[in-house]
Amino acid sequence: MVKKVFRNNNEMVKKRNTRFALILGLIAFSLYAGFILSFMK
Amino acid sequence: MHLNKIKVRFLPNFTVILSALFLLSPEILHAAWGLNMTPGATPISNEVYNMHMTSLYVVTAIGIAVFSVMFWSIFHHRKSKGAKPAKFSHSTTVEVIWTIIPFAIIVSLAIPATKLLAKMDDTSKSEITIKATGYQWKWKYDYINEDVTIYSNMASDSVDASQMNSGIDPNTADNYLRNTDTALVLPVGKKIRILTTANDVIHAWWVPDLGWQRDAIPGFINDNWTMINKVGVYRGQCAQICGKGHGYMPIVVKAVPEKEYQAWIEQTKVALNSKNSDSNKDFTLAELKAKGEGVYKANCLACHQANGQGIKGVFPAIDGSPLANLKENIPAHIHQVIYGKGIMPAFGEQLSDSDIASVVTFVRNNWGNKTGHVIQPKDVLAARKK
Amino acid sequence: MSTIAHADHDHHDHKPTGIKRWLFSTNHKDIGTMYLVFSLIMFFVGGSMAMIIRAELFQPGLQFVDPQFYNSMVTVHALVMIFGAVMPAGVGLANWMIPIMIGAPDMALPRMNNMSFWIMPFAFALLLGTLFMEGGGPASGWTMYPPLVLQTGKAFPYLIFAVHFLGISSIMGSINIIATVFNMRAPGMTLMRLPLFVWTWVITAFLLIASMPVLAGAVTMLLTDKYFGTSFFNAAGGGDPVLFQHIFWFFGHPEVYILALPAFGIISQIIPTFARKPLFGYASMVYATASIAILSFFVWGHHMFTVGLPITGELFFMYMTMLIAVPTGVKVFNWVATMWKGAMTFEAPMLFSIAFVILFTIGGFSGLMLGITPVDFQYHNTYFVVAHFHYVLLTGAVFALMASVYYWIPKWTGNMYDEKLAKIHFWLSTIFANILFFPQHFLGLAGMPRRIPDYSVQFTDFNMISSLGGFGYGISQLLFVYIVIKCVLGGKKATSQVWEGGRGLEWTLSSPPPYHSFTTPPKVTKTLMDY
Repeated sequence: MVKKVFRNNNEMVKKRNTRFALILGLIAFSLYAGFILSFMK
Repeated sequence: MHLNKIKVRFLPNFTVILSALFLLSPEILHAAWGLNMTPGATPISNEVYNMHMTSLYVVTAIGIAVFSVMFWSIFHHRKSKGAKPAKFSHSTTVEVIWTIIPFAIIVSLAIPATKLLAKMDDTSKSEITIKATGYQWKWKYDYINEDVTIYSNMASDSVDASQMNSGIDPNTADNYLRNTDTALVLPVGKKIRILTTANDVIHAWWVPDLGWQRDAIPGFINDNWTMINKVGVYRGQCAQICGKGHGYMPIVVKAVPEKEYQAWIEQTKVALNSKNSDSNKDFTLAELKAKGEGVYKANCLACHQANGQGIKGVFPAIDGSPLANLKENIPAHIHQVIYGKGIMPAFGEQLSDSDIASVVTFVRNNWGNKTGHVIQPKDVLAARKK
Repeated sequence: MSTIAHADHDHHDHKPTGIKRWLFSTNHKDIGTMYLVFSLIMFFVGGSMAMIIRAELFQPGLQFVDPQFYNSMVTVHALVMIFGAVMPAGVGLANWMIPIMIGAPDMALPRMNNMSFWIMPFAFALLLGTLFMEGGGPASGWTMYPPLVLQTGKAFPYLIFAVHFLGISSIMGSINIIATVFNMRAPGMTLMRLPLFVWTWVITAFLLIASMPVLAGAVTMLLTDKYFGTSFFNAAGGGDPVLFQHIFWFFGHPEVYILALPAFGIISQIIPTFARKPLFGYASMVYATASIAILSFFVWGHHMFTVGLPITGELFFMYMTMLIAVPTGVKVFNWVATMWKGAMTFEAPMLFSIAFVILFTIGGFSGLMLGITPVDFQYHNTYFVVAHFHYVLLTGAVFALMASVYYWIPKWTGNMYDEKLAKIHFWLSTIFANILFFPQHFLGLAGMPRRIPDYSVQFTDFNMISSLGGFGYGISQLLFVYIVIKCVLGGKKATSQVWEGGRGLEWTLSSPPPYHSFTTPPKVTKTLMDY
């Protein structure tokens, strides 16, 4: 089903999407963890 | 009956308010309807009021300018009037102009605001220092140089009227929810430093007529000052949500002439020194119960409720509880009132021996608790010494 | 490119039916619909809490609810309206419209899209469930300031985890939107040709990614403070209760713009359509939105003027806050300039947009006044603040959402809504919302603090008026539901163009659009957006 939606997109776009998601997710998580850690004494 | 009264009062007010909305003139803003901030009782509150009015006039002027252009456009540039749409989509000149003008307006507001803030921040050269400590839900005032400490609870007629479906018309209570049993007495014409802090959660000390509010934060002391010019009674209340009793934490400031203030200080010192003078006296059950009811209302009712049932899951019930019924728990009961437990605050400091004795006796002999136990002030005194 | 050729035949083949269609949906329109329906339900859940609040405040004295329950109503009303009504409505619109507006077949990450929606009902089950627990729901205000929030009973961990889940959901939603807009635009859809709704949402998504983890961090610290003996916010243990406020508002102020920016985008779509004239100052609109977003990270202190910041801090936050008025002003002036010399008609979306411009600006004015530190010492935590943020969030954000529903529902359903009823809904909403919130300015200035269940008798009249406005507003929203249902079930068929002045890719697709929006990428030329 997911594949069908992207029938006019090639694998490259899909890879780029995933990469985007991973990078943004990582940024979000590091903000979360960084914030807590920075207030640990 | 009550509903009728509301209707009668409501209708004329409604028309007045509606006309006020359309004629937002300063006279109406000052009218008795409480439409606007008041200039207050201190030089600072007066300046705050002026700053407020300035910014109100500025935004009103901007609003009238922008909205009249918009409405002119709405009435004239409509399709039904045969308007043909223009093609333009930007104009650098115009865009630069309407970036610069608001900026200039903001700068012109920021300059007096900065000056006023600097003035409010300067607590130096104060003659009297008061420390206001927020408790759930009362205020404690320490007169730092006088060794005087007072507690200020909501007045009992307000407590009665504010109970759920009390059947008491709030209009009959003296300054409903804005009256205390003990007022903070301050002299006029002196620079007074007011420190705010809290004992449990964050509160905020606010008397509008003094022109500011400041948070009272546990572990922190905030620094403020005031100088009241007019003799009078100024009322306010806690401004920061602090739990169930947030709406029931009034502040009353009584500004009196210097002489009267000195007399009050002396008188209060005497009263405080004799607070525990009845610690060795014995009272009857009826006397203790009568006194205890008042103490309960001021200190315990907010959590444990008028019916002693507390609130399930938050505040435990006293009615029927083993602590308030079993004879062997009397020492533990007294101990808990003096030293507190969990979220229950310690009352040892603020209540006298006879207060604690009477309130413990009261809850052990009220509602379904029919123990007949009589606790005397000397029992409390003994518990304190342990 | 051969895949494109046979795209059209199996167009309907993979559309599951029944509950599976919704549960396992990876289709941006279905997920968008679910978001919108969910947000409408939450709007009524939060609204009924507001009705309880207004009923209790109708007259002095306690009539209906206990103060503790009142506080939990105040708290949960805010959480539900912010996280359950306005934010999901924005995400729902983004889901529906962004792929269509940029010429993409669907969102970039459809399975994540499904997940980010389905987390929400569980998060709200956790949150709303606490109201039925012993000890009641969270009652510390939605700002969750310690130490008060640490007095919450059994509801506490539910509150924390609900916030965590909502944060995860919106971060996933934002990632999806950013990936979609950056990777899946049709050829020729350059960044500076993006419709403004898409632009505002991209900026909003970045705000979400930067601010939500901070909130999650703050509530995690609350959790460890309560259950694992840490002292982040406990003064007795060497911590700092004010630290929480700094962290919370570092999230909280961008959050305000997360609610408002998509609304700006909606208004920037609607006004040109009904003025039949291009949006005035497109580029300055984009830059203004971006500068508002950046500034929003440097103004958090204006929520905390009374905690006792050093005077330099107070001045910094005052200047930054006042500075936000400049880009916001630019936006308002641009909208007015768009109307200027247009050929306007006044269908429901336009009416709501005009009301938005006026009422949001009024909220902005009171915001400017609140930003002046020395005067804020009198406004802070009063009904003046309540009036201010309801003007920007209800007559601001919610009015924009109402406008967007009327604007796009013919596209979504293929049917025109009932214009006459919609106009009645508009007038009722506008009149009642003002009766509800305008008197609250006076209450605040006269000295009534917010979040109190009972008040001193001098505040009675305005509270009564406000409550009557509240009941009226609440009831008139039922009309909205009726209009929406009526439109879904049938009505005059909508053309693809729907609105005479409609420009942009969404108006080139049929109404309702095909299941997979653009199976062949459309060619975007500049003229597509022009008049």
